[in-house]
Amino acid sequence: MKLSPGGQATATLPPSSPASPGPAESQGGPGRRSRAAWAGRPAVLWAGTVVSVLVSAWCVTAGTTNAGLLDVWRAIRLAVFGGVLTEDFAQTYSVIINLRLPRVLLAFAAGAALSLAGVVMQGLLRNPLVSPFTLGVSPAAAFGAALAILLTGGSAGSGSWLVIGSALGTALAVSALVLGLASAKAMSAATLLLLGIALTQLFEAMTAALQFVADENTLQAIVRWTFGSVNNADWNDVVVVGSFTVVVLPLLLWFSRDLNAIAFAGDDAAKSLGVHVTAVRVGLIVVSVVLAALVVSFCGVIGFVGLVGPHIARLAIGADHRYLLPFSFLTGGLLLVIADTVGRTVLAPSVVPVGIVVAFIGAPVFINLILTRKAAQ
Amino acid sequence: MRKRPARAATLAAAIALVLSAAACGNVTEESPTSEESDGNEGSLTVVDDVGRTVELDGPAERAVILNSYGNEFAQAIGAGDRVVGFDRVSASRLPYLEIAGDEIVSEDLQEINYESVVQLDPDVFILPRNGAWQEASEQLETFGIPVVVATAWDFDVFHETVELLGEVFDEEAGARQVSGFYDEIFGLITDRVAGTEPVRVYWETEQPYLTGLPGSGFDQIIVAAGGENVFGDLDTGGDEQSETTVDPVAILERDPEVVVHEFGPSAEPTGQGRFDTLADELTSRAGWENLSAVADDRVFVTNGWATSGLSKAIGALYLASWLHPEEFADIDPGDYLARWAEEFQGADLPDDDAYVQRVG
Repeated sequence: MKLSPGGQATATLPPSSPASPGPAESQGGPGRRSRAAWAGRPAVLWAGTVVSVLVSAWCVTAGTTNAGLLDVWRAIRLAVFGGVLTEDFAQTYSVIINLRLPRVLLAFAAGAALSLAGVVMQGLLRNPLVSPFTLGVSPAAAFGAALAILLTGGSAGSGSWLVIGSALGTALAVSALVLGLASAKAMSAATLLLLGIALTQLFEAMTAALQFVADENTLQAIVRWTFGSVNNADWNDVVVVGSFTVVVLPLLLWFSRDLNAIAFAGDDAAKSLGVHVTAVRVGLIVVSVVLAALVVSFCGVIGFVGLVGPHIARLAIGADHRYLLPFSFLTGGLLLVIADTVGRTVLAPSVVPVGIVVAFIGAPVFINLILTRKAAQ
Repeated sequence: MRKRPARAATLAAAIALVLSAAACGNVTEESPTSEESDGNEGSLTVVDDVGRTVELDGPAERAVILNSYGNEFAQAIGAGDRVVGFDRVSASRLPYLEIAGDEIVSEDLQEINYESVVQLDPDVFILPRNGAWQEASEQLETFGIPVVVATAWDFDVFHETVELLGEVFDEEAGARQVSGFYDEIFGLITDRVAGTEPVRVYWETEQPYLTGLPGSGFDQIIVAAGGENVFGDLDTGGDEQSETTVDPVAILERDPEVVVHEFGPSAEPTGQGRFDTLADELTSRAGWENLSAVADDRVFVTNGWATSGLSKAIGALYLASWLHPEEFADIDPGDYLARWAEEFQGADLPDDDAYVQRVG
């Protein structure tokens, strides 16, 4: 693969020194911070984990049915260890175990997956504006899903394996096309981004065209897919999306030093450090595309998380991928869980799709990040 | 070889283990109370609008219905007092139902708050086929709440829908009355327009230049009312129930003799200001001063609650009286609207000019 990431790789410090100057700085990396200040990153990571668990648990308590943290604990304990379900607790148990817990866990897993995909793409392509959405992966998956819904006359709902397969297949095909073109033409990351924007527009138009010819029965299902939602969450979704995301995290961590080398030092320097740049880049991009496509195929198009999640994480823990990857996992997951909780409580008992809420939350955060960066420069 | 970050990987593996261990305990429920165990489960079986066979414990005593037309039908057949949950659109369109905030379970037909549905403890959850019925079936199955698909907005399945709701609520007599009223109106129209010359009609729905495709409910009532849809020859490849936006020039070329603009349905009486604004907007469109409909003062603005009510039967009667005034000289469609409102909806509403007006 001859893909040439943008920016000039001039740094020659070893990748194990994430405090080195270079492109990482443009991503809000650790270059401006002292080494001493970053000695506490494991503590930050642990604190982030604890906060994530607590916030997610609190989100499980939020909703129209009254349930406190003790109820959540009681329900989880019953589900995991078994026991007698009393009549007075039966409905609360069912709401927590069958509705809220899978919803919160799916939202967390989906947000974490999108954020991981974003951070890997941003690092490999050395561009902070890259995300599954900006590369066209998410809109392509949405088109695949919409096509399946339309062709089955709406009988294939959002949880259908046909729809999921179609979304996944389209996303992977488009990713192969984009990355193949990028490789064949030795595109810079900026050109790749432009290609992604063009494909995003194309697939959004194609989805709109499907909506134009769709009947009343299928139109709503397609429109809904384009919003992004976890309202249909069940344990199967959690197992598929959650397991894949959790399994992928250690895999990505295994390559975090290689990712550091490519992101901070550039291809040539990374090669000189013994990194198999082409293989690592292709392999990790495929993994991140599958992560993003999987989320879209289960939850619809959810923008901003893949873009904003890594940026928030970078601000908190720096650009060293050994810490950035797990922390992005947490920030992306938390962002989506909070957005979904806002969505199902702000107009309660009505539910606002999470894709809409996350854009409302994500856009101001992202604008703030841009303005903060400009001010810093 | 460089040291890989094993600790974080171990943590991730531990999370995976916890996830996989979740929900594997053996939960046994306390014995149901005698009241619950005595229930006559499966005593009522219906086939819904998408061909699903649904078993209910018996006629519904508590129901959640999404879609305002579905709620109108339930009210009309005499089961309105048994509807305990609604969508917000129904609440805004049907103010006479006095729906409380805690009775609303969704904004629309898609993002349904299943917790709220469960809290209302309904015997049945009813929504149209363009709602998220597959999802609702899956989510509510755990709670033993059956889902019935009934598409009350669909002109083509009016009788089937009313009959289905009659079965669900054990209100067959009420359902027959509603169907009878519908048949009475269309029977009257058929008799009166027989042998008349079709009148060219442009029917606009909600947005400027948005009109019904051939085969749509709007197209069918135009034909039934003794008219000819000026866009009845369109073939967009879309569904026959859909609407499409047309070229403004095409309206001038097709020169309709009657124009109807129907805006979003609401039983809240339309203020005169809205009628005046729409009248100005319609008659001031470029080239419209030359349309036969405008020149002959045959432009009408209607609230969809009136003209799409009773599966468009009342709209068809209004339209027929506008197309063929001489044939309907002794008929006041407002009387039929009043019957629909008072007899079937139990609502006390003002005169029909709060909903339907000739504006030009």
